[in-house]
Amino acid sequence: MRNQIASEFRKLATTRSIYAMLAGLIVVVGLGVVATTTDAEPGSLLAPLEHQLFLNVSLTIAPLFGLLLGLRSFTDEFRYGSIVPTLLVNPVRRQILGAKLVATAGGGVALSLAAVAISFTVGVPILVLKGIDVTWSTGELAATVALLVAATVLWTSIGVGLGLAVKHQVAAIAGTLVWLLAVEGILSGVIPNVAMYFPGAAGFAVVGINSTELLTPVFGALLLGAYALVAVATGAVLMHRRDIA
Amino acid sequence: MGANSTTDRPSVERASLGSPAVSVRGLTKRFGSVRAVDDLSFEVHPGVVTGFLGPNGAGKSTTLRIVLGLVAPTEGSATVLGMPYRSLPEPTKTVGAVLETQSFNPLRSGRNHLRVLARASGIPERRVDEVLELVGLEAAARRNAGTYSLGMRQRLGLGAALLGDPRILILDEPANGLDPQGIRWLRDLVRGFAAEGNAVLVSSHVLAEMAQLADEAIVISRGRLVRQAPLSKLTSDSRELVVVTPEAGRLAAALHERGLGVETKEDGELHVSGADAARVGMIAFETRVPVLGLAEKESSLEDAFLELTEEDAR
Repeated sequence: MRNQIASEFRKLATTRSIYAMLAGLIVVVGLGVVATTTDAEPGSLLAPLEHQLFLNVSLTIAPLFGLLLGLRSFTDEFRYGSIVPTLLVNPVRRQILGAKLVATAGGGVALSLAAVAISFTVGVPILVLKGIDVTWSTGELAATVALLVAATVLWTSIGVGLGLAVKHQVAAIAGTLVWLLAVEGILSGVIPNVAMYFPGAAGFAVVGINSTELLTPVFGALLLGAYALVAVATGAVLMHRRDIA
Repeated sequence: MGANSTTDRPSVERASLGSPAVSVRGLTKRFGSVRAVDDLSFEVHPGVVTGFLGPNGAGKSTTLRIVLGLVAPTEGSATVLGMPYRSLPEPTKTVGAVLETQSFNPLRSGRNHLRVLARASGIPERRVDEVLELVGLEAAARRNAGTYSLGMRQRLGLGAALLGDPRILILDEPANGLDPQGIRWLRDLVRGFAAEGNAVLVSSHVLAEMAQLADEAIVISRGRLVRQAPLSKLTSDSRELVVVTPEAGRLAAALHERGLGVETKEDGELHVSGADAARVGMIAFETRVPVLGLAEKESSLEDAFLELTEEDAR
């Protein structure tokens, strides 16, 4: 199992994809922070760092990138046929799944920390330039970052499970994005009392965005964890039976 | 062969080759209503190159995938050294397999592809470089595998198969995409590997290359075993004599009486099977039939193969 985990980390490190994702994340978050801070009402910028609006960019984007990382984990292997040598080297399929969960979780931690780092690197100097006295509570800041990491890691697991279940990369990614960006949004208008328990809403609840309309972060994390469990279990059952032809 | 020169091999593993390297028993695989493999049984032994022959769609790839634990059989069993593949304690050190050309991420370098696989089975990094040299990919090792030619991809696949210094090689259509030089290289590699007491199971629908590669032949058609025999026997059994005579009818009757297989061709030629030229000559002499021509026609492997699989299709 340790060998398999090391192999999965090596898989992540040996294609450009993860670096491209990191670079993309840095660009998107950086631009997002610039946009939110320059457009913001001056009063809103007076909040302590952990409540700065510009942090919402990281809190939204990093989990999404984590999800994509997870979705690609198995679908890349099915797409390129590398699942065959992977399973020839280690035919114990649940070990492959376990190792991918660990490796993508590691990737998720890296993505969320990178997002936070770039947010502050870009955001804090802008605040200073605007002459704002920058304040923060270390405890609350740490809690925010921890919740972001937790959300991103849970999203990677959901991605790994869904990718394993669906197999087809484009279908898995397109289907998930359509659900999160369109279907959930529409349903939240139609049946808000049910939609608040959907995965996307649960994910937002974990990181505490628009927290008045949402569940508490802890309940959101539990719910998101339950979704991750279902996705991974579905993938595991299908993988155990599936013929790799 | 360099393939086995560097890695230590415990004596326990050597001893275990007493049993067949690969054993397939009563194997059946149904995909919906299609029987891809139908009650198939055969064994593959160490020290021998076994050719796994059959037309496209005969069930070769499915069988190999069942042996390798990628596909679950509907009925029957397939074992490697007496164990299901999925239960092997060290699969890469037991079996090396090449199933298809494209089985790597095109954005990962060939060397990193092997490093990823080596890491998963605890094989040291230096073995990766040894294998790259063995399959002749050192120069391209750090290029993305997506840029490789078909032949280079096959070599990369073989490299992955050889990483663990296995005792058994399973190759599905390995000559696809190799140039004549590559085919010779493959043949030398495979023959050398078997000569060291290892087992090889190699499938093909291109039979010309089998003639110089395989010792044993397993012929399947529509998922069923048609024949398992030494390759030389497969060709000699289909040997025929061509007899030219003005009295084809009489000679045919006489030969038939003596239990030989006779086929009368349109131009008065007889195709006789089951006897050599001397015997047929004597029979003609006894029957007082003039013989204008008597020649041995050793049919090619391709003919023998077509004959076998066509019979089945009838």
